[in-house]
Amino acid sequence: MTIRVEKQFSEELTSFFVLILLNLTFGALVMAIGLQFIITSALAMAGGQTSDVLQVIRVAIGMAGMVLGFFWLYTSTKIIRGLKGIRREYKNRTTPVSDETVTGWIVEMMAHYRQNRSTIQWMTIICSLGGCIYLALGIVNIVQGIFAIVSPGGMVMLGLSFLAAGINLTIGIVTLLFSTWFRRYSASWDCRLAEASQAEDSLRSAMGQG
Amino acid sequence: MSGRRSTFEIYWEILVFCKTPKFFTGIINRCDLNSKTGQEYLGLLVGKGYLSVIKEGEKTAYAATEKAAEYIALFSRLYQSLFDEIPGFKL
Repeated sequence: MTIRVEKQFSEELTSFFVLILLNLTFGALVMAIGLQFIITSALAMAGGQTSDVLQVIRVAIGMAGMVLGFFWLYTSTKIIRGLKGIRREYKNRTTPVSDETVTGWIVEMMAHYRQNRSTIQWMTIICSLGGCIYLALGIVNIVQGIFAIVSPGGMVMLGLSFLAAGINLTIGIVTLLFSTWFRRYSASWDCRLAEASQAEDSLRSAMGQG
Repeated sequence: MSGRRSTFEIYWEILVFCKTPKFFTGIINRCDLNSKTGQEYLGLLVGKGYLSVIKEGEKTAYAATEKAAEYIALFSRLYQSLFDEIPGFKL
């Protein structure tokens, strides 16, 4: 059983680490794009270009994206901090891995999840919100593109708007996918926590504490 | 090891660490406990017969007993089954 468990532990640890790293990258990207939205919209408003209402919407969405990106980065960093230690221990393992070593990793992951459970649940919400915001930005880009057709040089604007829409919609979809992955990770660990509390009943009676 | 651990996980850590006799300071440092909770845990494990007390001059060492081996084995089996039986997370 130990070899099978070690293999599963390794796969799970790697998957979760990759998810957090990708999440960190997207958090930074979201923050940067949010900032870029604010700057370009503010410059356009100062120059008196295009519809003011659309620019105000863009600034508001950009600001929301930037704030969200900041929390996104902050929560990802919090999660990754605890995970790095476990990964280091796993990388420095000597083979064959003993029964106690594998159990020790499980205990550490369990403790890490208990400590970060609410953060991971926040991450699920943040990713869902971020995904929706970027899908909304993508839709705004498409609307802008459609409005631009009638103006001079409209085809260039149409192309640029659709390119921006493509980027924003991709970020939005990937981010919603992150939210699903976090939810799956949480579901798996919540199930383990519930099982562990049942295991504690067995341990309690074995110790004669029941 | 740090993070939020259950009482039984802390017992397990102490017992595994004390497979060879260990002093109080070593145990609380390794298991990330403070003096007060360390005393409580060790007191309970000694009382239940999972740890034996070895006097070495002025100092006191703690060593896991045969009964502790049973607890360690049961704990490992139960915790490994959490990974073995519940579908894990994979990207």
